[in-house]
Order: sequence, then C-alpha cells, then structure tokens
Amino acid sequence: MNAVATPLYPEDRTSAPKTAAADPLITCRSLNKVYKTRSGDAVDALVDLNFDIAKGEFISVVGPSGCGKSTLLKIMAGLLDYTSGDIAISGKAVTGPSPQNGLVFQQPNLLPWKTIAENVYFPVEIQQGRRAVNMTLVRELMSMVGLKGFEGKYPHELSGGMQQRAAIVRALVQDPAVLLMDEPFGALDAMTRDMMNVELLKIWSKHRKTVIFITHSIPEAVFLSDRVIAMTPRPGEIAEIIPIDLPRPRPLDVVNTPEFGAYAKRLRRLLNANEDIAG
Amino acid sequence: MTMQQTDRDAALFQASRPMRILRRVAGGDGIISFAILIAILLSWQAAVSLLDVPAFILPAPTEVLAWLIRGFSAAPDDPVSFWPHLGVTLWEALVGFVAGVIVGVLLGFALAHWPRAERIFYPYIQAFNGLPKIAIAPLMVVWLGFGLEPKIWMAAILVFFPMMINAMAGYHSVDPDRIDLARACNATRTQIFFKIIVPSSLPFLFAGLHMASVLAILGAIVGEFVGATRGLGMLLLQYNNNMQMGGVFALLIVLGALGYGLNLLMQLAERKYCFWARRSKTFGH
Ligand SMILES: Nc1ncnc2c1ncn2[C@@H]1O[C@H](COP(=O)(O)OP(=O)(O)OP(=O)(O)O)[C@@H](O)[C@H]1O
Ligand SMILES: [Mg+2]
Repeated sequence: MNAVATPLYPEDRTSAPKTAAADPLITCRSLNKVYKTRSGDAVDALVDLNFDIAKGEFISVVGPSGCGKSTLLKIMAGLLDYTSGDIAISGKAVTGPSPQNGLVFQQPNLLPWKTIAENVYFPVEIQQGRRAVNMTLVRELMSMVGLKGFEGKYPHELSGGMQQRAAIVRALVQDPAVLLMDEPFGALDAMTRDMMNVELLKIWSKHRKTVIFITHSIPEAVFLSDRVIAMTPRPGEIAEIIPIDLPRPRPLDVVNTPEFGAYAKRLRRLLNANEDIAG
Repeated sequence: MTMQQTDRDAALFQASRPMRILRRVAGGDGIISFAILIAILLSWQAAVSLLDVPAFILPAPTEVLAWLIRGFSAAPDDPVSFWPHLGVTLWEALVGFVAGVIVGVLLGFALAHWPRAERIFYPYIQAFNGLPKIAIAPLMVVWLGFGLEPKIWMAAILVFFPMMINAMAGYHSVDPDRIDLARACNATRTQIFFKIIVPSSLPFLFAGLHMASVLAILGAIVGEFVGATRGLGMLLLQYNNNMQMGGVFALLIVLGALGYGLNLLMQLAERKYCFWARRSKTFGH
C-alpha cells in the first residue's frame, strides 16, 4: 500500500546504527501509563519512557514479566491510551490504530473459521473489502515463509510454528512501515524459534521494516537487534538502551562468539540487578 | 518378495474393509447398544404374553408397531392418521424455535454488549429462568385461546432462554486479542461484531441450538396438553384417556424420533459451520 520511502541504509545491512538517527521514525517522550483497576487503585505500568527509533531499526524490548512491555506495544499500536507524555510515529502523534503498523501477537491469533489465505488477507478485507485483495501478493508472501500450498488449509491443520509464520505475513500484507511484535515466538520450541529468528531477519532485511520486538529471551534479543531496550521490573522504566554492535548478516552460530556472550552477560546482569532492587 | 508383500497387504485390506464399514455404521459400541434394544424388546414381548399383562397397562411391542404402521399408512383424513397432527406440532415447534432463537440471540448479544443493561436486567432474567416455564402454559391458553399461538409461544419461550444465555456467554468469551486484531486493522464496530464476535460465539450458539431443538418440541407438546384440537400432544392425551396404550407408546416413539431428528439437523449444521471448534468448547447436549 504505502510505498517504502527512500531507505536510510544501503542495500547490504552490514552495519547497524549505534544510536538513534537525527530524524527518528518513532519518538517517545516522558511516556507514562497508569492503569485504573476495577477496585479504583492506580497501577503505574510505564514511568517516564524516552527513546527514539530510527527508520529500519530492529529494536528489542526485554524485561521481567509484568514490567509493561505489552502495554508499551499496545500504546505504539494505538490500541491503548497513554496517561501522559508524547509518542509519535512518522511525526504524527499516535491517537489510534493505523495501517502503517503490523501487529504480531504472542499467540498466532488466527481466526479458526478462516483459511490461512483468508487470515493473511484479513487486514485488507477489513479496510478495503474482499475485492481489493491481491491474491498474487498473498501467495508470494506465503511462499516467502514456506507456506506455499497451505492457502486453503485451516489454522488447526498447521503446526504452531507455521501458524505464527502465517501471523507474521498477515502483519506484512499491508506493507506496514513498522512491525510490532509481542513475544511472537514465546510459545515455540527452541529449534523452531531459532529458525523463525533467522526467517524474521531475512524478512526484515528484505522489506526494510522497522521492528519493535518484545521478548523474554536475552539471547534472542541480542541475536536479532540493533539495539535492546532493557526495562526495570514494575513500574516499568528504561534501565538502559544497549546497542548491539555485531556484524550482519548474523549466522546462527554468532551466539557462540565472545562478543555475543559479552552482550548477553551485560543484559543479564542489568536485569538481575534490577530484579534484586525490586525484590 | 515384493509381490508377496503386496498380495498380503491386499488380503489384509479386503479383510478389514467390511469390518471398518460395519464399525463406521455401528460406531463400535453401536452393536452393543443395538443388542440391548433387541433384548429389551424380546423380554418385553415375552413378559406381556407370558404374564398376560392387560393392553391398557402395557401394550406388546407388536401392538405398538401396529399402531405406528396404522398411524403412518392411514389416509390423512382418517382420524387414526398421525400426519395432520404431526404437521401441526412440527409447525408450532418450528415457528417457536425460529422466533425464540432470533429473539434470544439478539437480546443475548445486546445485553452482553451493554453491560449496564445486563446489570439492570440480570435479576429478572435469573428469576424468570428459575421459573418452571411449563407452569405458564395454562395462562397462555387463557390469553391466546386454543389455536396455534399458545403452543408457538410456549416453544419460543422455552427456546429463548438457552439461546440468550449462550449468546451472552459467547460474546463474553471472545478472546480480546481477536478484538485487538480487528481494531488494529481499523475495523468498524459493525465489522468487529460480524467478523469477530458472531463467528467466535458460534460454538456457544450451537450448544444453545442443541438444547433448543428439543425444547421447541417440548413447548409445543405442553401447549397442546393444556388445550388443543389438533397436534401430537392432543392425540397422545386423547389415546391416554381412552386407555389406548398402543397409541400412546407409538406417539412417544414418534416424538422421540422428532426430537432426535431435529437434534441431528443441528449437529449437521454445526459440523458444517462450526467445524473448526474443538469439541471440548461446546456443552449442553
Ligand atoms: N487492563 C489492565 N488493568 C490494570 N492493570 C493492568 C492491565 N493490563 C496490565 N496491567 C498491569 O500493568 C503491568 C504491565 O502489564 P503488561 O501486560 O504490559 O506486562 P508485560 O511486561 O507484557 O508482562 P509479560 O512479560 O508477562 O507479558 C502489570 O503489572 C499488569 O498487572
Ligand atoms: Mg506481555
């Protein structure tokens, strides 16, 4: 739909940006979120978040359970109101859902009464009607993630990994500028997860999306990201934003290098330290 | 070697094929169920003839069969024919069923959609649902007379409650992630309702429909018991008063078959429209 504007990086993504660009795609300033519970209490979910994300960056968000990662993602997706602060994508304040975001949930979240192809083009069907569906594009996207031939199958006929791949291409079907992913591979086994990570990096470098990727897994965050946002336990604050300066493309065995180990160790220390403070 | 193997496989295949078909038809334990039925019928027949039980207490299976045959083979204008009564009862049950389903589902969704309305009306719904609704049948006759209306109303009222309650449960059970998915695509409220909430609720609606199909006939029959000139319930009451137990039993079998048939219809519809739902998600039949 919305054509990708001039890329910020050269075709080969050999070097990742180490700091936010001067002209960021996403800006977040003193963002706060307070939940009102049913009993009337206020729960501080996010406290004073500040960060910039450049176009084309791969950003991971890690942090302990309940620190507000999903809350942050839902705010970015325009699905949730924030209490105070500013958040803007492409210079426009986030006020509601937008087709420039593609959303991937923790569960595949496919509609079980629709075929895989129907699920993939569901966003197009909703926004432009069934007539606007470009089946060639749908088939192309599906074969890109190895789902060729599964167009007419139903979700329950696919494995968890295949379902999540379908969910990813569903998020891509409208060619969004930003891909928002909430622990998309959390429910998968380690081997499938590795495979999906490699596949995701391929999609990312091919389509030049900006990705916000939430995960519990420190190695996953280091492997995928240009920068990792580490959050403190509840109430969620940013502990540190760590640039990951590993060369790309990254083969799977980059995890065995000392540099990778150093990043993982640093992040683990950071998260554990905050855990101790909270505990 | 390979030839032998193939031959053996073919023989195995042939041997197992009739068994498999039999199993599919009888559903495995179906054979046992059928054997039990035969045993009951035989001992029933034996008991009736050996102990000389009077026909006005317990008719022999053969007599019941004779009534069934007569009921279905007699000309429709013959007083012993079941056909006109079957038509009347089926019509009452069907109209009541459709009305009860439509109103129940719409109201259930509406209440679930507006929590305020749900909170306000919930006590009334609970109170009325707790009422044995059959008890209002005489009232229906006073208000609506001896025509078809009171029977249709009884069927509709009985069908209404499980449909409304299942529609509410279905609406409330929709995974919030599915709603978020639609919202993220800028779906309108109407789109969210028809493309997410209604299909997500289908397993619940079908659970309601299974109950409703049986309740619709129950409602029609109860309505006819209270006062009617036509219908299977009226006929049953008449045979009962005349001590014609063969007719009573024959009609009970017809009614049972009717309920079973309607329920089967619901199951077929469920398999067609709700094939994706896990069995464990449905309940109520
Ligand atoms: N609707 C809500 N009402 C009240 N409090 C909420 C609500 N949603 C989330 N919270 C609270 O906000 C905090 C952050 O929740 P969130 O779901 O964003 O955490 P998370 O980091 O995604 O956790 P996890 O890693 O377990 O998914 C939690 O403490 C949670 O209890
Ligand atoms: Mg979460």
